[in-house]
Amino acid sequence: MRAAALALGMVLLGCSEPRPESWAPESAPLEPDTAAVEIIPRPDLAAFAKPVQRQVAEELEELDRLLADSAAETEDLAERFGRVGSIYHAYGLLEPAEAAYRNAARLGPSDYRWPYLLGVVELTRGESESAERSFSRARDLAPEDVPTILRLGELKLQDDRLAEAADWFRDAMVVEPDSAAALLGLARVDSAVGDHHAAIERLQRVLELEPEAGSVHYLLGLAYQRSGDQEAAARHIALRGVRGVTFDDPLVDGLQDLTSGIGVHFDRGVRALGEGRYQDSVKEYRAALELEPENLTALRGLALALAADGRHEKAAQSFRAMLRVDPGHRLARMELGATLLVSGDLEAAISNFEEAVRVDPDFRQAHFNLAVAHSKAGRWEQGVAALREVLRIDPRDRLGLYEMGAALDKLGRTEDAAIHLRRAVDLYPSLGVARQRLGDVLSRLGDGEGALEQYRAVLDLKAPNQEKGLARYQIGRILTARGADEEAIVEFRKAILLFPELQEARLAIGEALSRQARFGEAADEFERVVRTDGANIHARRRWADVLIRDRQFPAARRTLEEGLAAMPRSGEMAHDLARFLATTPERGLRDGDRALALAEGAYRAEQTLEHAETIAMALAEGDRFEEASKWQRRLIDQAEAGGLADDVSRLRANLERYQDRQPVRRGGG
Amino acid sequence: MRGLLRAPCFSTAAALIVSGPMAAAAGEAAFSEIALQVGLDFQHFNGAKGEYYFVEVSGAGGAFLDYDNDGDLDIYLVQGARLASGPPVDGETSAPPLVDRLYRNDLEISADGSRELRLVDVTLASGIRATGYGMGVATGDYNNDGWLDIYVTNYGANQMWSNNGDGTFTDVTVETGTEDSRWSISATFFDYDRDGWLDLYVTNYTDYALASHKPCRSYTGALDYCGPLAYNPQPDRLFHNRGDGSYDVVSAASGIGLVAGSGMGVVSLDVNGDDWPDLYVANDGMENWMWVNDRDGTFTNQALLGGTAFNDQGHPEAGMGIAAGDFDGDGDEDLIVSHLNRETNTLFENVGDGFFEDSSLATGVGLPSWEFTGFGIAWIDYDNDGWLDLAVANGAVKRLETLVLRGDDSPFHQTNQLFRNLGKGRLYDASEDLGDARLLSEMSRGLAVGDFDNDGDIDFLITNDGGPARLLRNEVGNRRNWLGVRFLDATTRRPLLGTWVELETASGESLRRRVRTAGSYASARDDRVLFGLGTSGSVGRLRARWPSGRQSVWDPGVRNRYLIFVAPRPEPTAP
Repeated sequence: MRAAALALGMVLLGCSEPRPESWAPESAPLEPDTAAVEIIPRPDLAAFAKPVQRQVAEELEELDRLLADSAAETEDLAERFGRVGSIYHAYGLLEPAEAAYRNAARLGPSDYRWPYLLGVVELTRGESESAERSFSRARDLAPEDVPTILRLGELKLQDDRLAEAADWFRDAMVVEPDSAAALLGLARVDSAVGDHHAAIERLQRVLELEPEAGSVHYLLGLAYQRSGDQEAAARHIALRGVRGVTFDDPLVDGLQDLTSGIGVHFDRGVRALGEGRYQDSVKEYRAALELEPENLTALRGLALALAADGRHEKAAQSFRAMLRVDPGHRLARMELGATLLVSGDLEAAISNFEEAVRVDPDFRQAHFNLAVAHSKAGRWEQGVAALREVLRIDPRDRLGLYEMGAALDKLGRTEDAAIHLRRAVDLYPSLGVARQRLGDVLSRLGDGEGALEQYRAVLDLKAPNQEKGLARYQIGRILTARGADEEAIVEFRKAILLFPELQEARLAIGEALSRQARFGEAADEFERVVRTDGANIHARRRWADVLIRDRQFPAARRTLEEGLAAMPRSGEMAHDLARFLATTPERGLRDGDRALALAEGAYRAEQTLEHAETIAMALAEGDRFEEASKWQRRLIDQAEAGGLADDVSRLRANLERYQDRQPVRRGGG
Repeated sequence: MRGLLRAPCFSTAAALIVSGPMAAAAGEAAFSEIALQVGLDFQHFNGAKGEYYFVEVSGAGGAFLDYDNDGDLDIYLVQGARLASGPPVDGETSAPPLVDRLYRNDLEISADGSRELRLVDVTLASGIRATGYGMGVATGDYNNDGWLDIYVTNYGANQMWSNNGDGTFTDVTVETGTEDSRWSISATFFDYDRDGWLDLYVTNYTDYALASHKPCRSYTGALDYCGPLAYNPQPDRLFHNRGDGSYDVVSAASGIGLVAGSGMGVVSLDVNGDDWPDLYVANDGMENWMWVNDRDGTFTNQALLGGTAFNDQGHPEAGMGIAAGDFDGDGDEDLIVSHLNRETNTLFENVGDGFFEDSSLATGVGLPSWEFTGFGIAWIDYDNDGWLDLAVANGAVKRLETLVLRGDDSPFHQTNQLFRNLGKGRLYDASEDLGDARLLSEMSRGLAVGDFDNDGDIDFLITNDGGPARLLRNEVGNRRNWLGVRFLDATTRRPLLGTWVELETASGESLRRRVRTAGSYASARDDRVLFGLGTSGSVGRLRARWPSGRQSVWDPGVRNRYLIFVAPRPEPTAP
C-alpha cells in the first residue's frame, strides 16, 4: 500500500524526494540507550501559580527518586521522563520538555509516544528538520497513527515537497477515509499545482465533514475564483469564518489532562483576565470551583472576571458567596461595594463600604470608595468626611488629596479646595489632573496668573496628550477673557493637535474668529465640528450664524436645512431655520409660511422670548403685520414685567417696523 | 532511480546551478556594519521599565532621504520617549535628548573612486523637535517645492515637517491639516487622484492607552506584552492634498475610514495594472486590506477576492511590514508580508488582474521565517544580478522562552535575514552574506534601503527597539554592473513617486521597478531606482510610465552611474 501511494504521487507531480533513511523500520535501534540520558533544564517557575509549582516539583522529585534507584526498570524511567516532558510541555516550557522527551525516547525506544511528542515540541520551536526525523521515527513505531502521518504531510507541504505531502495525506486517508485534515492537505496540494477543480471538490467534501470550519470557505472561494467562477467565489468568501480544520490528536489533547488541578485553572484564569479574554477567564474559575466550591481565590477570580466582562450582578453574587464562606472578608465586602457602585446601586454600595470600614477602620481603599459613592450620590459633606479618614490614614494619599479638593470645590469651598489641591500638587508635581483642577479653582478665585502657571506646568509634564490638550484649551480661555484672541487661537489650535476630539477648542476658535469678523474662517471651524459630530446642535447653529453674518445666505440655509434633517426633533434647529426663512435679505430664500409653521412648533416645544419673537417675524414676512404687532406688544408687556430692559428696546424697534408694514431683515456682520 | 527522479525537480540545488556566479566570493561577507565608524551613534529608547506597556515593542523606524538635495542619502531616525513616571532608566537622561534625529551625509568621493563616509548630527540646526513617542517616518515632497518633507507617526500626535530648502524644517502639522493623535505606525505618500500632488495614507494600530493598560502574561505566567487582540483596532486615515499642500481628511468619503484594523505596514502599488495607485495594508492579527482605487476618490477592499486577506490556509496572520516588487520578473508587483514567529512570512504572488496566490512555500521563504518575528522587509537586488532579493529585520514582540531559560534579561532579540533570489521565483536563505551583521541578535524593527555611499549597490539602515541603529554597507554588489535612475518632475523637481520603470537588458529581458519611498515597516527608502545588470555589458531602452499615466522612453547608453530623468511638462488642457 505504501509503495502504491508513493507511485501515485510521482505520477501526479512528476517528481518526488526519497523518504529519509530512518523510514525503514528495520534500521531503527530498539534497545534502550541508557548511557546518554541528558540533564533537563529546570526553569524558574516563580511566575506560576503555587499549585503548578507544587505539581512540577512533585513530578521532579519522583523522577529524581527513580534515577537514584539502581534497581529501577528502564521502562519505568522512560515513562517517568515522558511524564515530566508532558507536564513541561503542557505548561509551554518547551526546552525542558524537549530534553525529557529525548530521554524518554532513548530509554523507551519502542514507544511511539515520545518521538511523536518530541516532534510536536520541535515543530513548535521551528526545528522542522528535527521534527521530521522525530515524526518519521514515530511513524516507524506506529505506522497507522493518523496524527503522525498528518504532521509528516504538513511538514512536506511546508517544505514545498508536494508529491511527498500528497502521499502522506493519502496514507492518512487509507487509515481514516473521512479525515477532513487529510482532505484539506490534498486540496492545498491541488491548489499549489493549479488543479483548482480538484481542490474545489476536496474542499467541498471538507466542509461536508466539518461544516463549522469557516476558514475553508475562504479557500474554496479562492479556488472558485481561480477556476473562473466568480459568483461561487464571492458566495464562499462571504461565508468565511475563522475556525480551521482540526484533527483528533489524543497525545497532545491529553496534555490538558495533566494540567487539570485547581492551580492550573487559576493560572489560565489570571492569564485570560490579563489578556482581556474575560469569558475564558470565567470558564477557568468556574472549573476551579467545580473542584473546590468554596475556594475563596476561585470565587474572587470569578467575581473579578465577571465584573470585567460587564456582568456586575453575577459578580456581586460571587462576592456574596465569598462573604458566606468568610463573613469578615473585608476585601470581598469592599469589592462587592465597588461592583454595586458600578452597577448603579449607590445605597447598597455605601452600605458595603461602611461595613468594610467597620471591620477594618484603617481600610483606606474602602474609605476612599465610600467617599466616591457619597460624591456620586451628591452627598458631598459625607464624601468629605470619608476623605478625611483617607487622609488620616495617609496624609499624603495622592488621590485622597485630589478628591478632597474636588469635593470641597463642589461644596463651593473654593479656597479650602485650593489648599488641598495645592498640597497634592506640591507633593506630586506630576499629578496633572490636580494641576488642572487647581488651575480651574484659581481661575474662579480670580487668580488668572496662578491658573496659567498650573496649566503651563501640565504642559511640561510627561502627561497624556489629552491632559495637555485640556491645559492648552484652558490657557486659551484665559487669554480669550483677556481679549487676546490671536494668542488664544494659537493655544486652541495646539489643544486640538494634542486632543483632536476636544471639539470645545475648535468651537472656541470659531468664536474668536467670529469676534474678529473673520466669518469665513469661523465657518470652517464650526463646519469641522459638525463633520466630526453631526449631532452637535450648538456647532450647527453657530456655523449657520456666521454664514449669515458673512452674507453666505444659500450656504446658511443649506446648513440649517441639513441640521433640521439630521435632528428633526430639535426645537432649536427648527427655530433657527424659521428665523432665517422669515428674515433673510435674499428674496428667493424667504418662506414666510414655512417659517411660521416651524416657529410655532419651536414655541410649542419651548416657550421662550426668542421663540415667540420669531413667530412675530414670520407673521410679518407673511404680510400679517397686524397679528405680528399684536403678538409683539404682548411680548413687550412680558419683557417689561420681567425687567428685561435690553430686550424691550429691541422688541419696540421691531414693533415699529411691523406698524410701518416692514418685515425684519437680518444679514451681515 | 532516485537520481533520475531528482534531476527534473525544481529544487534548491537545481536552481543554485542556474543562478550564475555570485558577486561575493565564497566565504566573503557581502555586508559590513559601519554605523559608529561613520558617526551614526543613535540609540533608540523605548521607555521600558518593566510594566510591559504595549507600545514599547512597536517602534521605531528610520529613513534614507536626500533632504539637502546634494545627491547623497541622509538619515532620519525615530525616537521613543518616557512612558511611566518614576526614576529615570538607562538612556532616558543621556545626551542627546530624546528626540528624533537627522544625520547629514557628508560623503566625499575621491578621484580614484574611494569614499569617505561621515554622518553629522544636524538635528538641532534642522529645527526638527520631534519629541513624541515615535513610531515611523514617511518621506515625500508634499508641497511640490522640490525638497523632501517628512511625516512622523507617533504613539500620540503625528507631525508633518516641511523642508524649508535651507537645511531647516518647520512643523506644519496644523497648517496642513495632517494631524492624527491616534497610535499610528506607518504612512505613505502617494498620488491617488493623479493630480500631481501627494496624498497621504496613515495606518493606525489600536486604541491602547497607558491608562487602559492590561497586564498580559507569557506561557510561563510571567508578565509579557499583549497582542493586538487585547485592544480595539482603529480606522486608518487618508489625507487628500487639496492641490496647495494642505490636506482634507477623506477617510470616510473614500471608504477607507469605514473599517477598523490594527494597521502596521502600508505600501502603494498598482495591483491590477490599470495605472492607478492602489494600497495594501498589513493588519496585525486580522485580515489584511487591498484597497483598489476606484478612480473617483473612493477605494474598494479587494483583499478577500484577490487572495491577499489571509494565508493559504484561510487564517489571518500578524501582518507587520510589507514589500512590493516584481520578484519573479513577470512584469507585475508581488507582495510579501512579515509576520510573527510561528507564522511564516507570506509571499503573495501576483497572477494578474488583481489576483494573488500565496506562494510562501513554493518560493522557499516560508519555512526559514517560521521561528522569526519579521518587521522591516524589502525587495532589493543586493548582488546586482537583476533579480530582487529579500531582506528582513527580525525581533520578537513576546518573550522568547529559549532566551528566558538562558537567563536573558531582554528575551526578544533575533538575527536578521537575507534571501537570495535564485531566479524565476525561488528564494534561498543567504543570511550568511550579512557577514558579521549576521551575528547581531537584536530587536530589529525598521529597515530602510538605499545606496548610502553612491557606489552602485544597496545598503541597509536597520533600526532596533531599545538598541542602536545599524548601517550595513554593501561590499560586493557593485562588482556587477548597474544603472541608477531618479525621476523628477520637470517643473517642481519633486521625485515622482509611483513611476513604473522598465529597463531592457542586453539579453532582451526587462527589469521592472517602481519608484517609492514607503513600504517595509515604519520606514522610508531611497527614492532612486537601482538596476542590477549582472555581467551584462550594455543596457537597452529605459521606459517610464509616469504617475499621470503618460510614458517616456530613453536610451541611457551608459551603465555604472546614476542618471536623472525628467518627466515632460504637462500638455495644455484643451478648452
